[in-house]
Amino acid sequence: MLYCHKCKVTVLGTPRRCPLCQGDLKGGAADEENVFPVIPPLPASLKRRLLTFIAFGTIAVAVISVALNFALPFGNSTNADSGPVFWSFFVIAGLASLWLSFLVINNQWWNIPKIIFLQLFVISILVLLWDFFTGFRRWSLDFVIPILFSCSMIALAVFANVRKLKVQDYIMFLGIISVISIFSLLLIIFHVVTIIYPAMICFTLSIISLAFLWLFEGKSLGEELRRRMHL
Amino acid sequence: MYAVKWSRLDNAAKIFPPSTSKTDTKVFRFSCELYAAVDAETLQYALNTALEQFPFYRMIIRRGFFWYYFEKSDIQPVVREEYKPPCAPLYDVNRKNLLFEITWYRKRINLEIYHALSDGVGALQFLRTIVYYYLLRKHAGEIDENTRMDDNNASDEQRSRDAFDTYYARDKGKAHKLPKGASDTNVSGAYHVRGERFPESRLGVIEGHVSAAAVLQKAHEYHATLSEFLTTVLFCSLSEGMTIRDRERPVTITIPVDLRKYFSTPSTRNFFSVINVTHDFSAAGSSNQGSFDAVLTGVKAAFKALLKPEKLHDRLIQLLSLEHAFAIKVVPLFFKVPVLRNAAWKAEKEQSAGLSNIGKITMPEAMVPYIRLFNIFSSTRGPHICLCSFEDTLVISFASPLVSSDVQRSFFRTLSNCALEVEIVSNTADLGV
Repeated sequence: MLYCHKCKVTVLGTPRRCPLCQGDLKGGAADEENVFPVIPPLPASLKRRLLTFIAFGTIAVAVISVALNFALPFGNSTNADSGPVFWSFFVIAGLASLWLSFLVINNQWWNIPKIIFLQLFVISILVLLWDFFTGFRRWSLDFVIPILFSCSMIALAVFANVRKLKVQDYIMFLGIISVISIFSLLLIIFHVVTIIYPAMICFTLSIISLAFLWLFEGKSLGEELRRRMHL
Repeated sequence: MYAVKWSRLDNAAKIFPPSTSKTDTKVFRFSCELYAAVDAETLQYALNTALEQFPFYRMIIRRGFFWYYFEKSDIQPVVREEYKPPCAPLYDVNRKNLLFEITWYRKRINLEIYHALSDGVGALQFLRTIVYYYLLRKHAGEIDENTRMDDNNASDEQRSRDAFDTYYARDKGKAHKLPKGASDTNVSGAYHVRGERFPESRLGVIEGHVSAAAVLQKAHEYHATLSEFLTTVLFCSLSEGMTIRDRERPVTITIPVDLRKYFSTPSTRNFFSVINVTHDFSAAGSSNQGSFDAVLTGVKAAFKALLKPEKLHDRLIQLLSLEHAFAIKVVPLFFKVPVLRNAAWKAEKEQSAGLSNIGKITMPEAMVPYIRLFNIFSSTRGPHICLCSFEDTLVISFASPLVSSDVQRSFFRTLSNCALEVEIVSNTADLGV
């Protein structure tokens, strides 16, 4: 037991100075009187350090590619009269897309259904944008987006089954993806897509998935909706 | 089987998830110090048994479209030796984990709990039950097995009920307007203690143990209650570190009020309100505005005015009608979060310090010889005092994220200068400053 003559208080434990006035303590310190364990400072996490390096690399690559773009002669030799080619823009857009997709899943690595759900939407929108700004040849609608939606539904169903997930942990994600997938029929009806097979598969899967949800998990889906939407 | 029970967040809890951050985790710790070292196995048994009576503590928080909600989980809590700093984060929006944790260190049993789940008085019921089962088994031969907790007749369902909801009636929604000038209305920009903070947003805790009877006697000498007396000491301690410029700002101490004292309920969920007691030190130089007696007079008047049951009831209805307003209900959570966060930030700007008095804690008489003290403290952004007493030991826990211990020194020196014997124990020596 220690004593601080300035504060006139007894001090328990093993501090070297008075916790109140940082003054000298008299008496014998006793370790068994400590009521708080010493918790060492947390080491900087590996993930954090890795992230810092990648972020640094991204900025460096972006700046260097812009510099090279301007330093080297514009355009290419095959069609010299097509004007300057700002290829560095694609590098930056590509890096930005990667980061956007990465940041969306940041901090929830263990929630696989949620990652599938979020990535599906982020990648779909990015793919659509890329297609649109590179001449809109509709490869995004023809192939990528219907295939992504089909794969997501299958992946969610398989994952939920294998990992024996609780219904409320994936039902909303699967439900929303399936409902949106129905719209792939519109792509076919209004001749938005020229190659109909991926969209057709997507539509078929969505109907099967919705039928499954309604017939087997209808009650759970209703309860989950009621919970999530309570006012 | 799909029989998941769920529940809404109560009125007070709604503010916590949006305003939780690394620097203010909204976690508080209730500890019980025994005379003998804690046995982990018995503690685990006690926790499992107590949890059967408090099923609500198994809840986790999830995000809905309009509000957060509690969802029952089947996560089994495991007691551990204390392994992280006091009041470290428990709630993470992306993780599904329980909102409380039981740890032990030497002779102490610690219950850390996220504030959305319960307030101090509710958590105390849980901790007492755990300690009760722990001692009953640990000292099976010595303690009569017919020893009962005095207040154990509430059902699980009663304990899990939202007491705010019980006392809300729509026809009484037209609350009387609060009189102007009362210090529970907005005080813009109260004085804040500034300074360096502990690394890693850790919390510095300085506990003072004093004789409850001696402090009470001292308070009675001033014709004040314990809360009034210690609030005044805190006011004066805060004023000591103030510059002349600081004195232009009012000092406001936030005091949580346990509504169970005014509106009876067996609920162990949140059921509290807060009052803000303000003192203006700006005229202290010219008059005796800053003297102990002057502050005490102000504090006593404020307590009397703010703690009237009808006043607390009005405030309750006011807050509840806000929550029940349809226009607010239908805003998606995504938009509510920044608004709630802003409201919490505004409320914080009006606070200089906090003082919570949990009051006297009782245990069955046969168990008293095994328990040294109870203690509570809470995560906070500024200085925050929590009081509770067990038998004759009053524990005053001073928690603060600030490295400076000026306010604490002044506070405890005031007590020791009143010829009170103060015993200090803290974690601040090992916080790496």
